[in-house]
Amino acid sequence: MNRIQPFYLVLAGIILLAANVHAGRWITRDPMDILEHMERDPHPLLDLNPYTFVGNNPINSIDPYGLLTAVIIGGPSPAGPDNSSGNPFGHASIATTGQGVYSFGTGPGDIGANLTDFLNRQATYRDSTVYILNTTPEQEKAINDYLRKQKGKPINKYPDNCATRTSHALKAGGAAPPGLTRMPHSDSFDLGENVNGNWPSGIRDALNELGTLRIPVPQGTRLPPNFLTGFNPQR
Amino acid sequence: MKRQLLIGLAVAAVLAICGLLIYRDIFSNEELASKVEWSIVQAVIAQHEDKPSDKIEIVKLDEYSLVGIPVHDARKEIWIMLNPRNPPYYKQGRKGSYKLSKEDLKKILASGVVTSTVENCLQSHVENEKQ
Repeated sequence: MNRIQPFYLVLAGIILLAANVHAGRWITRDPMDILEHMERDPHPLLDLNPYTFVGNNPINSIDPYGLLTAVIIGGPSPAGPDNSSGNPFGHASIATTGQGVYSFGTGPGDIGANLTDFLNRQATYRDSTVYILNTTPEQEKAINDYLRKQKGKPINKYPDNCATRTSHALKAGGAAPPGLTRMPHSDSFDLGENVNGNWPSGIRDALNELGTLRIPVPQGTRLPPNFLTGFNPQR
Repeated sequence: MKRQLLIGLAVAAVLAICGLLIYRDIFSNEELASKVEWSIVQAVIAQHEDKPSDKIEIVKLDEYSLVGIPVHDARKEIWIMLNPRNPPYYKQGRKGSYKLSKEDLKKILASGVVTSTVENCLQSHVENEKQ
């Protein structure tokens, strides 16, 4: 009996492995290469293992396409004596696999830009958090189609802003967290259609509720050049 | 009656000053105030990315004017906002250097909207004509 047991254990392992592959569950590392480099070149800010892209639970979580959408929420940038820039509301932007980041209103090169460079630029004056969402090819296509349509349109005044464009992109792709359409805080002013999705902090709250992977990029960070390269446009 | 009116006016004045200070504090911050302007630069770049011109062109979008300056070797245009109202007071779309002829500069200044900061920057890019 003792001799047979290891055989059955191995057999059971192979069956489970095959079942997981068939179900589209990841038992291998993410092809986006987001985290692979972290093992080669670990960053003190990121405490990640190769399975964090499925919430540290590769058995029960599914990432069948390997496509990811990143929502970047920048915190407020306070004005200081040596730094005149400031924005109490923060900033929101979005990136999809291989398409770069779409950040409306931060700078001329921030449409379809290299996400790693963008995060480094943002880190010179604010904290950011990158939220990673698993997306399907159809969702990514819808998100990208929406973003491309917005490229030639300048943002107007509230409610058209960086946050609403990020929210609408997520909605276009059917990837919006449920909390986006809720009022930000019960004690806040009601500005008509004031919902979480209209504010960077509201998108942050909605994504936090979702419990998706979060990568903090605090102010002053200098990211390694191969960080989040899966989002960067292929040139 | 007169006293009440004076108190009312004083309260209104205090509220107006507070409102102005709050407005200034929030909307004079560089990044927030210039977001619309940067997005206009982004939009003009996107609108012209498939049709680079070999001559300077001036376009108007909302209340802003921008000049597109061709960079021949790169087959692209650098766009500069001629009348930014918020810092930074020189906004250039796409990185890189460019050259302007005196005639081009005259044409740009003739638009009548160029701010002094932008004018100084443009002048520093004017090519010296060969004798």
